[in-house]
Amino acid sequence: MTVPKATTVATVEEELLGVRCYAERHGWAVSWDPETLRLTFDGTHPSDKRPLRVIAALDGYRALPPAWSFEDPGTGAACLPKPAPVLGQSSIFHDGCGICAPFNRCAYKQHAGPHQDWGGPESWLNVRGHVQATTLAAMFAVIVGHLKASPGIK
Amino acid sequence: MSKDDKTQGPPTITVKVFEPSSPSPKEFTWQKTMRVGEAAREAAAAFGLAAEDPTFQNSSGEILDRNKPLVAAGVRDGDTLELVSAGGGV
Repeated sequence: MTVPKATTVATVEEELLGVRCYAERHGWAVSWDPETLRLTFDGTHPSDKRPLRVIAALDGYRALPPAWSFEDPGTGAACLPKPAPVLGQSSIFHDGCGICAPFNRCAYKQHAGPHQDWGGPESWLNVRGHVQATTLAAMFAVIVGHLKASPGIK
Repeated sequence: MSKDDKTQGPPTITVKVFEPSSPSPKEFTWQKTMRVGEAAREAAAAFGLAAEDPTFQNSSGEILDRNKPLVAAGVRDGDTLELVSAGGGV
C-alpha cells in the first residue's frame, strides 16, 4: 500500500505535539525528520542507564504501522532491551522483531516477523486482544512502560 | 481524630490524567479504593476512547495493575498519570 510522503508527513505532524509533550514528561528527546520519515526518541534505559535511541520508521503511516527499532546512539548499532514480564504478561521486546505488538510493522510475517494471524500490517488498527496503541504517543508510552520493567539492554 | 485518621487523609484523591496523544490533561477525583482499571475506563471514556483494557502509567513510566485499588497501586493525591493499554507482548 502506497501512501504519498506528503500525507505521511502531515499525519505525523498532526500527532507531533502530543508526542513531544509525552516524551518531555518522561525525559526523552524527540527528533523528527520529514525527509527520511524517521521519528527518534533519545533517552536512557531506566534500569541500566545506558543511552538508548528508539526509532520509528514511518513510511506508509497510518495505512501501515511504524517499523520500530532500537539502537545505541553512540555507535548506531542495533540493540534490544531485555524482556521482562509486565504485570504477569509477556514483554513486547522480542528477539525476532524488536517489538512484538500490532503497532510494529516488523511483527508481521509480510515484514519478516512472526505474525501471520493478524490479517497483515494493513489491518493493524483492527487487531484485538493484544496490547493496543493507535497513535505514536500511545505506542511510545507502551514502549516506555515495558522499558521500565526491562532489566537493561542486551 | 486518631493518628491513623490523620495519616490516611480524605478518602478521595485528585489526579491529572493525560491521554498521551493529547497535550491537555483532564482532572479526576476518585475514591482511593476504586480499582485502577475502573478509573482508567472512566478516564478513557472522558477522552472519547474505546480502549479494550486501559490502565495508567505513573510518572516513572511504570504500568499500574488494573486490579489493584488506586491507593494500593501507589497513586497519591496530585499525581500525574498517563492512560495506556494494559496488554502485553505476544
